[in-house]
Amino acid sequence: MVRYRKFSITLIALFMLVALKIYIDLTFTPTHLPEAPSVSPELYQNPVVQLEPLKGNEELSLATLYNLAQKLRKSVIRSEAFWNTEQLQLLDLKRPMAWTCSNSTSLLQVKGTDPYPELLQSFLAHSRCRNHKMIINQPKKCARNNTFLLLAIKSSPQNFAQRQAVRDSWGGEKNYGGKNVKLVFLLGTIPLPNLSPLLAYENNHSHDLLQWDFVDTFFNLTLKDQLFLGWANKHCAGAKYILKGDDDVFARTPNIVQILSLLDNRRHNSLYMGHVVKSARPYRDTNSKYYIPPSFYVGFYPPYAGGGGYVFSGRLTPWLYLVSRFVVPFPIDDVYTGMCFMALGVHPVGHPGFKTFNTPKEEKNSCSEKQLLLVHRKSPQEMLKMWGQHYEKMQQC
Amino acid sequence: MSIGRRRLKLVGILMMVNFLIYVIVEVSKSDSQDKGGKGQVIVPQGKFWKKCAASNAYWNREQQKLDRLYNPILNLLNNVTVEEMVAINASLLNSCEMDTNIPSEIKDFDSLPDRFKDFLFYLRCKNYSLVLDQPTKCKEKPFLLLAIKSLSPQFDRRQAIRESWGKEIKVNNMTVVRVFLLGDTPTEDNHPDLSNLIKYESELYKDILLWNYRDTFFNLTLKEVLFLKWVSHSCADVQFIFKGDDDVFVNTHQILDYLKMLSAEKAKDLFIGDVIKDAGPHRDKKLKYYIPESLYEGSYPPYAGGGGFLYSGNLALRLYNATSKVLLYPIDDVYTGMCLEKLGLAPEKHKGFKTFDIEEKHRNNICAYSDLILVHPRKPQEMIKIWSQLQDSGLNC
Repeated sequence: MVRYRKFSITLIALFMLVALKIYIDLTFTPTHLPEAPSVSPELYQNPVVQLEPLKGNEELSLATLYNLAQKLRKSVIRSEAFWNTEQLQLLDLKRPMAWTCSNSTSLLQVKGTDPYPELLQSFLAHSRCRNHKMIINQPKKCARNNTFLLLAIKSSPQNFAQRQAVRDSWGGEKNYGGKNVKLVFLLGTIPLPNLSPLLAYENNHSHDLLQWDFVDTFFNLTLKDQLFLGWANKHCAGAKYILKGDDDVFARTPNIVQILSLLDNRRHNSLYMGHVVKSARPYRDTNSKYYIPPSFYVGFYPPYAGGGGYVFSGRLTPWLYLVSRFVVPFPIDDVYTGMCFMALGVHPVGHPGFKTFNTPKEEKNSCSEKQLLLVHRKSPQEMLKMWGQHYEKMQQC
Repeated sequence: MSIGRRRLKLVGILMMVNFLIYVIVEVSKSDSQDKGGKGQVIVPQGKFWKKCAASNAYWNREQQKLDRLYNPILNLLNNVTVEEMVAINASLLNSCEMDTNIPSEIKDFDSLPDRFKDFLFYLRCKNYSLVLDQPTKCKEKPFLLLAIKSLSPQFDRRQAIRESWGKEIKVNNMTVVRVFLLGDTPTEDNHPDLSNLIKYESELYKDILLWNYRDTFFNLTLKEVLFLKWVSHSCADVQFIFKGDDDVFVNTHQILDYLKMLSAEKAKDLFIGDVIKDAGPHRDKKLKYYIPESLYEGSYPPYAGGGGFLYSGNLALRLYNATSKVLLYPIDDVYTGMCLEKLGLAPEKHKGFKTFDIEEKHRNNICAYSDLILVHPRKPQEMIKIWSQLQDSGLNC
């Protein structure tokens, strides 16, 4: 009898432990990344915060930027690799490069190595050229200067359905509690087939396409980034925040707006927030989409926010645009953006709500999704479905 | 002396054996002659027909009922004609009401995937109307009609086909016209609303047929039936029809060459493609083509793979007639095979249809395409490239 009682006590204790474990698992929010969005001591040392907003005097700004960009020196490994060599040479120049198509000198790769993959070659052939013409523009997008959040979505001409789904769901131009959200899609061109009549029709109804005259390929996303910064600098400098993302992500725009509107002044001016990748290295697998040959780049990547979707302060736009002239183009766009932010001395802040790499499995009747801000790889149909359930879910949880 | 006797003995034995064989053969021969000679007919003990036992699978069972209804002899016994029988049952045969009896008819109905439930609930409904029509498409009695199955968001595929193998051309008095076959992608199913863009596309290129049924994989059969109906109403004088997917490359000139050489007799019943024989339903639940045992049993009739097939306009009219005698089957090309079987016909294999692509080493060799009819799959840009290379007058294959 005693034995039996002992046994049952042990059993109950065991059950209690298991129950406790489950309870802890369920209630505690997972903190995937060391930096919580609330505290980041590094931010206080951001030099940009102390800088006045850029005004007219470009000479002065360029001198400041030149000094800022010297910070990159520390992180660029001295090596024979093409990018590393070019970057260090660029930092030695007092004047930044012009980056216009006219001086596109033929770039030769490092001697004695295998030829670069075709995509990388074509990237390099055009990488010095940043003055592409606009085919479709929205000069009045931010006319009333009251844009709180500008959504800049990387798309491709043929993705009509993705764009419509974004428009009809999280990307709609709305006013969330007094904060205006605006939308633009960033497009290059496809040489064939000719979709321009359909694009023109689409734009006449939605007024949210930006198209430049360059071929829309994966490596040209860096170029798209630079051209967008140029556009934002010119036409939407007043936007408080900019969310750059892909056309296959789903975002909870109202929640993002809410989080952003609660930021204090310091962070408001120098935010770079997303799913942060630290100490990443180039892929050396030749079959990977992200393959970078060792003869092209050596070293770690700077900390960067995954390109699926990240938010930054609109105030940084002119700085970013100018500093990119001191950074040698790199074929992977989010890494390049990371380099530019590093040159400015702005560090990315992680937020667990941004899931641009590992797509969490959809859980039914669970509130674990509540803190989700942005997820990757969603079909137009999934996007619209999630948007339809958004408010329902917010109420339940 | 002894040798002579032995020899004699041997000859004697051999002769006796020969005689024995003769007797045996003769006896058996006369025996069989005896039977045949009397001219007796073998009268079977039981019935020589088998009463059709109700099948366990729902589709087969319902098809048996349909066959019974269209059986002229059995109807004669009841003193009704087929037409009368069809008229009596018309409302049942084409009902667009949700069939609430289905769950009790199929034992594992509840465990079936949703796509089967949707399909079965409205199995008999074929009464959908055209939202976008091209009523004057065939007013000039075209020689060849290209009918391409597409989905709303595939704007780039359609445009690539327009710019390549789907061009509306006239070669030696043979006119080629083109239509795209689309269904509905309703916003209730969380599809992005592309209806205005499609409407504009239809006005621009005058080649869209769009019906108001849900454009799902299983409803491709409806696409087939409704297309055949459209042909018999709006394009009854067309000589030949090519029907295929929007991700194939078609050598239209090769089709015209082939059709030109055809004898009138062969042309009437023409139906060629990549024919699949002795196939049956897939039972692996993970497959797109999975069919549960409770729905269908038995093998499939010979059918031409849905990637693309070529047939005569005359046959299209007969096929449309046959569609009312064959219950909708969730896999469209199998269904067409069933309708052909009803007409007492079978598709013919043509080696020019490469629905499983050509060998990889030949894919970049333009001459590999010059005497083919169809290759699957090809991307939009590839279609245009292959087509323009084939048009090159300097092509030497």
